Amino acid sequence: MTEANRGYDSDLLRGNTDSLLLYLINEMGQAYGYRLIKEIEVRSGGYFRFKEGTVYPALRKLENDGLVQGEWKKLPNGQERRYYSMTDKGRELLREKLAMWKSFASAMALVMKPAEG
Amino acid sequence: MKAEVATYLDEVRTHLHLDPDTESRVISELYSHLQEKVNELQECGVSEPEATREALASFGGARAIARLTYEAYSRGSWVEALISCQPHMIVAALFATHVWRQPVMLGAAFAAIVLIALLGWRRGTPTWLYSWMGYAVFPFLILAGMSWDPVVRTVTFVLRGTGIPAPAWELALLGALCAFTIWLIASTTVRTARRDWLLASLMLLPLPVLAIWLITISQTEGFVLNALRSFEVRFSRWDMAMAYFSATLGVASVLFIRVRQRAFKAGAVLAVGIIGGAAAVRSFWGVAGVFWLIVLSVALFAFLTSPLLLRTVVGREAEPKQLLSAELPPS
Repeated sequence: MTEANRGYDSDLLRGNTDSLLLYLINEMGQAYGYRLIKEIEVRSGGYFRFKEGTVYPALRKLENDGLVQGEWKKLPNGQERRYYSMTDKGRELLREKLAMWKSFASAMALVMKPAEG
Repeated sequence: MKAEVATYLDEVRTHLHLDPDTESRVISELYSHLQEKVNELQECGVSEPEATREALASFGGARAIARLTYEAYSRGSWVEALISCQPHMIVAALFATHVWRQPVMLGAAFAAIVLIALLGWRRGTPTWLYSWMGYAVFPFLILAGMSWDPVVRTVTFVLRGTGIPAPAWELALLGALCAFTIWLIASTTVRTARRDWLLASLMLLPLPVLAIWLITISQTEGFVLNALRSFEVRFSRWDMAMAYFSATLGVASVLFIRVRQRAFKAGAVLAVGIIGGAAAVRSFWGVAGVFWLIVLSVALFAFLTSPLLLRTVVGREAEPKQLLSAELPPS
């Protein structure tokens, strides 16, 4: 995904997009592209802002890898929307990614302490 | 809203190069997103034109989205890659073992290839199909090649006013066979190029070298039927060149299925088609000079990229039905 906001290193976010999407889909049970974008934007306080169309190729790659599963649903107004839900493989990977992220963040915090005084 | 969004989605679709069903699903999902965004902005008091502009601006450039989407969808599985390289490997095996000289084995191999190509065509034209289609038209090319001489001779006789040299029904049949082959190759190429010119190039990949091989055989042995009966050392050498060439095409088809980036797919097809093709043809012609190799390479490049020109002439596939209606196609 390409972010619209350049307040951070783009590679940092690009490398963690899958984790963000997997985390939100897992938490929300079922989610669709637009909702995921909004959720990321709201939860990050507007810090992460993506070019919205890039979320769909990212979701497709997760689907190709068997991490999420897409399903079309018909809405009451007749419109159809594609919802994504986690697979067992996706949940397993998310657990690993969360554990890895926790260790990584702790180690980074230990090394990169802000200057005192 | 609909006009701007339709124009935007149309541009995305132009650069997607996916099969119509997948394109339709992708466009439906993008449309659903844009519609929701516009509605949400309108609920916040933004006018419809401004909401549409903002929704499209935040969505990203149409070409960039199409490229990312293509890369997300275009990578086939290893199973598809394996299926895709099979016809090349079958042909490589036919040449490497010289089994192509046995009419029954040759007929059985090509009958199987034609059958699998037809099955693939009926089952939604998956990407692996296009390697099979290239060989599926080859038997017709052989038949047309066999018909070509009598047809040309007849036309010459008729133009000279000396009558026709064979029964009229026989010549009509041969003429019809030539016309059918030309129609088959042209219509298949046009139809494929309308979806994606690269798939048409992948399909045409083995044909130029096979055609040159066929012509070389016919010039030395009086066409393929005589070659089936004879076994010369030089034919054996050509067989190995063709076997290596076909195996290399197999590698190219695996790369085509597995790599995501369109530029790499094109690179695999063109590099193998041109370098491999020139090397194979060089073995038929003996020591060919640099000039002829350059001419041959340029001709192969022109042939393999001709579907791109064809696509610009004939346009792409028809629009998906009811793109902007509420009844968007489900997966």
